[in-house]
This record gives sequence, structure tokens and C-alpha cells, in this order.
Amino acid sequence: MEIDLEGRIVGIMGPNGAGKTTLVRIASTQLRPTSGEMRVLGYDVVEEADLLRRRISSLPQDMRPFFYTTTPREDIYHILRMRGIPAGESRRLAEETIDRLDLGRWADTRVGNLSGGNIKKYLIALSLSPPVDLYLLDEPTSGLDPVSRRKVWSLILDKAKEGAGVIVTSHLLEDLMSLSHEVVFISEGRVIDVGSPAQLVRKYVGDSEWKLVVRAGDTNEVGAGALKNALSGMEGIKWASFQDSLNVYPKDNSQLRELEDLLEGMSVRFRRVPVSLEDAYLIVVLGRDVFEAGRGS
Amino acid sequence: MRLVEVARFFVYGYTRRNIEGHLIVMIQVAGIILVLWMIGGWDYLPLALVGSILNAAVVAGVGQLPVDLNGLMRSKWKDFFVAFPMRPLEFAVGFSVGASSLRLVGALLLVLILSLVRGLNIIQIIEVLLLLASTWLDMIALGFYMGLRLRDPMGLRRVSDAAVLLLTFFSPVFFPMDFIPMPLKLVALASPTTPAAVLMRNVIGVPDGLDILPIEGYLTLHLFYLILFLLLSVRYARWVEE
Repeated sequence: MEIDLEGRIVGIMGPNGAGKTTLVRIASTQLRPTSGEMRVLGYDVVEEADLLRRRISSLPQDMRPFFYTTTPREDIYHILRMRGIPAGESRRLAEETIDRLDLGRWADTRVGNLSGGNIKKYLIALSLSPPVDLYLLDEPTSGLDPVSRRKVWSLILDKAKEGAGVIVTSHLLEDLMSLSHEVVFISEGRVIDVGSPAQLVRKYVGDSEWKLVVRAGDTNEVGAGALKNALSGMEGIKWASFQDSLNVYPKDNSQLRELEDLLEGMSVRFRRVPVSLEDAYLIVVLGRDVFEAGRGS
Repeated sequence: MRLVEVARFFVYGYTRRNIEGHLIVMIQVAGIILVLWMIGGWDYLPLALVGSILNAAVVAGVGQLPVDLNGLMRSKWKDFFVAFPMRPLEFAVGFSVGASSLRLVGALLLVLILSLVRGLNIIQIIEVLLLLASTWLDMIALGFYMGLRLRDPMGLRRVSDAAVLLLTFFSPVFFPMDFIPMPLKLVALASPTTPAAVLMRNVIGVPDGLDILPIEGYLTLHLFYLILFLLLSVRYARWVEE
């Protein structure tokens, strides 16, 4: 598998334990692969780790502060200096990152006195402040409120616009859908698929921009079994059953209207919801077979 | 120079707004000196100072460093620093300087007091400082080995406490080698702090332990321990996981 990283944001998606963090850790030279080979920015992650480290910056998942008596401004500056960046430039980059993440009010507060969200922003700032060619961010926005999340993503997007690559894992699929240039689906340590969010949605869900969601209890007297029987008569249709709802995916927009007529005819209440990367993700994670017409669970 | 910046980051982190930390170190050192001075009197003060200087190196290297290193290895900062553009040796020395900074400041103060009490000349002061530096290096090498080999934090804490006791209170660090009977003198040579303490006492003009080894013998033994622990540390200082 080869992924172009220059100026691009690549999202890594997969269920818990799929290997997202392992992939990021290997790519950032924190973990040696037991088999196979990986090259990042043209460097072998094992043999040329020293060269690669000069061009990357990483944010490990669930990082906590190391010192609690220092301040964000001090730590960001020192971390930049440790990378060999001159003092003046380090000061400028630290201020710029603090400003971009809206940390200014707390930049001189002891880390131990920061709120959870600001600690997260401080740690993100440590990773995003150095000017490198690739940022590897493991769940950077978890625990952030929507406004802070947008600020972090805005900074990540700017880094990509400036030409840097970003590899990011997130459970927030809306973020990956709207911001990633490319998404990698992984499961059980294997890459399942790679593509743009739109490509993956089309591939796994279909050409329809909408899905119909039938809540449990809204199938009227028809019953879920009879409903699925009726659906299985429609060619190319997919569905996924959950405890609280049934998601039905028409193959295209024309089938959508046909499907709506069918459900209305059966007096089944439904909602029309835009198809998202989450649907493709669920299909990949839960297994494609369960969504095929006539074999739905 | 990156090493300086790494050390600066950790020194800053360990000492910044850490008045309690400074006070605790000072109280510990003052307490030991006071006890020994009360028991031994004014004449014993230089020996108590030598013991406290070496004790600072032992506590910094074997008492605190492996525990802090263990904490770092279990945190995500290990991953953060592994992916950092710096050599493991730069990190090791920088982190060690930082973790030792409070103790080393105290040790330098003790060297100053010792110099005044004994009226040391510049050569003697330099020799005392070199012995402090080499003992500190010896101890941080041992501390790194312990911190990277022993992963269980509780077990490491117990080993670390025992090592500090063995290296400072069961070895002739606070008391002269000449105080202990002959067969135990040979046992005492097995402790890496013994040659450093004997050398430092001889430097400040308190002849000690010369009945079993000449001064060159202690110097050789001191360097032997230094090289041994450095090699052990380098051998196991691999922190990228497989």
C-alpha cells in the first residue's frame, strides 16, 4: 500500500483493537514492526529512523503532562528548542501555536492548574508547533469541546495547506469525513481499504446520498421480519439491523423513492438521513455480508 | 547543542516553582550532617560532608532516577521522546541531569562548605568535583540499568531503597574505611561508592584505607565500576519496543 502524504490529511479508522495506534506508533518509529516493511517520507522506519525523526512530530494517544509546575508557553518553547530550532524562531512558533489554539489566556498558567480541555490543547500544541513534514496524531481531538475541536482541525488543515502531511486517528467520524483527503480502514491489524471518504461511501454504501432509518417499534403491525422480506425483493438494497433501529441503504437515488413508496405503503414510519462515512465504517467493521439483500440480520 | 536543550528542559521541569523539592533536599542533607556532627563532633564534620556529597550522587542516580525513568517509560512521553530527533544518549544524559538537578545543587553547596571548612585549594576542589561527577555518572548508569530492567514500579522502588542503603550506609561513605575490621574492608571494596569515598577523603587530606590498597588502586577500582555500569546501561538502554 502506498499513500501520498504531501499536503494531505490521512485518517485511520477501525474498531477498538484494530491496530490504529500500532500503525501510528510504527510509522512514528516508536514501535518496531515484527514483520513487513514500512517507509514513511521515503525512509525505512527501522533502518532510517534517525533521519525520519527529524521530519516528523507525533502526539501519542492519551498523553498526560509530565511536569505540572511548568506552563504551556515554557514547555512549547523548550520542546521546540530541543528539536534544534533557534531561540527566536522557537519563541515565534510557540506564540503562533498558542494563538492558533486559543491558549493565550492560559499560556502562563501552571499545567497542573489547567482544565482537561486546555491540557489537551497544550499537548496538541507540543506536537503541532514544530515545522515538520509529517504530523502523526493519535486521537488528537478526543475530550475537546466542539469549538476547541474546530480550532485544532483548523490548525491541522493549515499545516496540510502549507504542504505537510497529517496522519490522524479519530473516533469522530464526522471530522474524518469532512477533513480527510484519504481514509484508511483497518481491522485486525490489516488494511481493509484506502480511499477518499466519498469513494469509500460510494463503494460500501452505494450511490444514494440518503439512507432510511426505521426505529424499533416504528415498523407498525408489519413487523421487522415482514419488512426485511419485502426489502429483500429489491435488487441491490442493503440494510443493517441494530437494537434500536434498522438502517436501509438504497443503491441509488431512484431506488430511494421506490423504497420510500414501499415503506409508506406498509405504513412504516421512517426518517431520511444523509449517508456518511460512519455507514461505510459500520459495513466494513460489522462485515459486509450482513448488509446484503436477503441475508440481512 | 541539543544535549544542553534536553537537559535544560528537564532541569527546568524539575526545579521550576519547586520550592518544596529544594527544601526537602536541604533538610535531608542538613539532617544527616547534624546527626553525624552531634555524634562525632567538629572533627567529624568534613567526613560527614564527604558522605553527604556522595550520598547526593547516590540518591540522585539510584534513588530517584530509576523511579522517574520507570514512570516515564510507562507514560506516553516515552513514545513522544522516542519519535524525537535526538539520540538516546542525549536523552539519557539530559534526563539524568534534570532528575538529579535538585540533589546536584545541594551537592555543590556541600562542596563549597567542605572547601571552606577544610581550606581546600583549587586543585583539591577540582578533584572533589571530578569525583562527584564521576560518582554521579556511575550512579546514573546504574540507575538507568535498574530503571530499564525492572518494570514493576513497586519492585523497583524496593530495590532502589535497598541500593541507596547499601551504597551509602553499609559502605564506608559516611565513616572512614579505617573504622571497619579487616575482613569487612575487602567486602566493602565490592561497593562502587567505597573507592569514591576513600579517594575523596584522601583528596581533602584525611588519609584512609591505604593499608589494603594504594590510592592508585582505589582510582582503578573507581574507574572500573564507572566503565562497568556505563556498559551495562548502554547494553540495556534500548527503549524502542519490538
